[in-house]
Amino acid sequence: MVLEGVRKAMRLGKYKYSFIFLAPALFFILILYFMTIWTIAMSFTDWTFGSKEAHFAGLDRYLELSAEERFWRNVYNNILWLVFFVIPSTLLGFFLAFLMEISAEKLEPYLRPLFLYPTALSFVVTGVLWSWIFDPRRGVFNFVLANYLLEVPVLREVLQVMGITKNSLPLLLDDPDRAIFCIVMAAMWQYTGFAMLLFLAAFRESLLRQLIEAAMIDGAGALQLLKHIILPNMKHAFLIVTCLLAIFSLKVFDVVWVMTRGGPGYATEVLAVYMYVAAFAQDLLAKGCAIATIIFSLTAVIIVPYVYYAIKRWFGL
Amino acid sequence: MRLTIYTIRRMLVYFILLFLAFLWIVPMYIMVITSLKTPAEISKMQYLNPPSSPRLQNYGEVMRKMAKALFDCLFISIVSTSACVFIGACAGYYLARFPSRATIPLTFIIMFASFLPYQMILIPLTTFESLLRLIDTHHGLIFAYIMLNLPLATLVSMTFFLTFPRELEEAAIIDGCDPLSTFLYIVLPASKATLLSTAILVFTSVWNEFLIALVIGGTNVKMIAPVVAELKGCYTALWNLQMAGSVIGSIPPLILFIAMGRYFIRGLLAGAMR
Repeated sequence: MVLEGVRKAMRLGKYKYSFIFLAPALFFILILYFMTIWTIAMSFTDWTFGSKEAHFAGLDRYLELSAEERFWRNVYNNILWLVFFVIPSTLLGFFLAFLMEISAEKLEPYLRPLFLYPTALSFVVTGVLWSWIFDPRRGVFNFVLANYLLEVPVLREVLQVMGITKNSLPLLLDDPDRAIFCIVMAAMWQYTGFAMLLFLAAFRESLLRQLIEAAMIDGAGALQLLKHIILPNMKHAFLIVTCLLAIFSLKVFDVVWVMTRGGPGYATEVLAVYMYVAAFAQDLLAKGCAIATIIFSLTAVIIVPYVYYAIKRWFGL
Repeated sequence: MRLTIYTIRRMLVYFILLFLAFLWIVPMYIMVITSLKTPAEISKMQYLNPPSSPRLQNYGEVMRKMAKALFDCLFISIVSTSACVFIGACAGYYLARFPSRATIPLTFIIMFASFLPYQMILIPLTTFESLLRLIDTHHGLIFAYIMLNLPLATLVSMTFFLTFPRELEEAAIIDGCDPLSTFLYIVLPASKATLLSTAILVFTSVWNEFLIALVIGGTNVKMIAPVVAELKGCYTALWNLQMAGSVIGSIPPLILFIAMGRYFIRGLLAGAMR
């Protein structure tokens, strides 16, 4: 009886106190949405830095972009990120979590921080560090390649077939065709631990752990375990990890900017970098807004269903 | 027979794990040892060997460029983190405890905002902040970071309060406490762990942020990330100085990661599963 009354009081409280509790947060979030809408609106104008007023220009900015080779190169690079960053990071993160889970003595508490610490670093630090590692002339990668890997007899033959000898080391960040993979590798170094953490958390769910233990007692091998128990029960974790990494790779900016500024030429440039260049180097603000709107629409395709399912889960709809 | 296969497989698992862990730790190792070398030692190109005698002057030299940024960045990160955590906890508590028809749409709006690409608000933010003369000021950056991290802080607190036991609050209300005092004096002190996780999450993201800092920051106010990026241009091929700068820029988040790993991971998971 008393509790009924209390719950009623709390229900009544919700109107009275909504203002105090919610108003500060809503104030900031409304500004955030206002700015978002404003960016979308301005992408339909001819606004440039220094122009007194902006005129409605319809789809001109978008048509302009779609006629540019550079823009399509950026889109292509973002797709490369989606394929060569999201998928390998997810799989490697899962593989690490899986190995930690099946290793009999629990190495996990000792190994986990070693994979996870890059998550705490700034992308700028990662960029500075890895642009030295992948520097073609005096970088660490080519140094290790020339002084250690090319000294190993069998490896030397393999690398020779790939066209890598002491006199023709890979061009890494200077190679227009492959520089993007160097950047992707740096990002993988930073994000694989994060993917691993999410998978480890999924392994920890009690139901899955019981199933695994039961199967191991029945003598199931690692592969059987993977195929019949783990993968079917991990769909949710896979979905979360791929969505988060995909959202990240659609708006990636820092690491590309620090490592190559989009170069050589615009071989590694992604949409977010072009947006920054268009708005703040070329002063074409409306064009910047248009590119931002494109990034926004692409991420929204992933975010909207993701948010929808998350809310369903929390509120038990 | 079965035992040997089992042992071999286990050895293989260990080997792969340790090998990958080694690959993951090497970049950090190189970063730290290189930051202690002399340029002459670097030009010998023995990147994997530790320095013959650690040279701390490297740190002294980059600190001349970074001291101000460290101070500014620390101040801005701490202020915006505290504001985010407090405002976010209020809103998260409200959404979790007082369900109404507006709750689900509101949660959707907030969660969507938490994923918003920074590019989407970058141009209006600079335009408005330059109209209000907030560019290159502490206020301007603090405002931007509160706005950008608040949705995440709200959601992380909300997911926590959804699982927080109600009994404590009910007891407080029976004793005649109104919701606001219940929240301030009963709920907040009992949820220190969540507040700490949220704070670490927000602090790390503000400290490491680059794009907004690049555009809104400048000469009066510097954030650490653009300064570290600048070092790359200032000290071309002087990797000892670049690495010393990178180490300095990574210290606060790494300290949080090492000293409060449990909360760091909790925040990271809550932020991801939001």
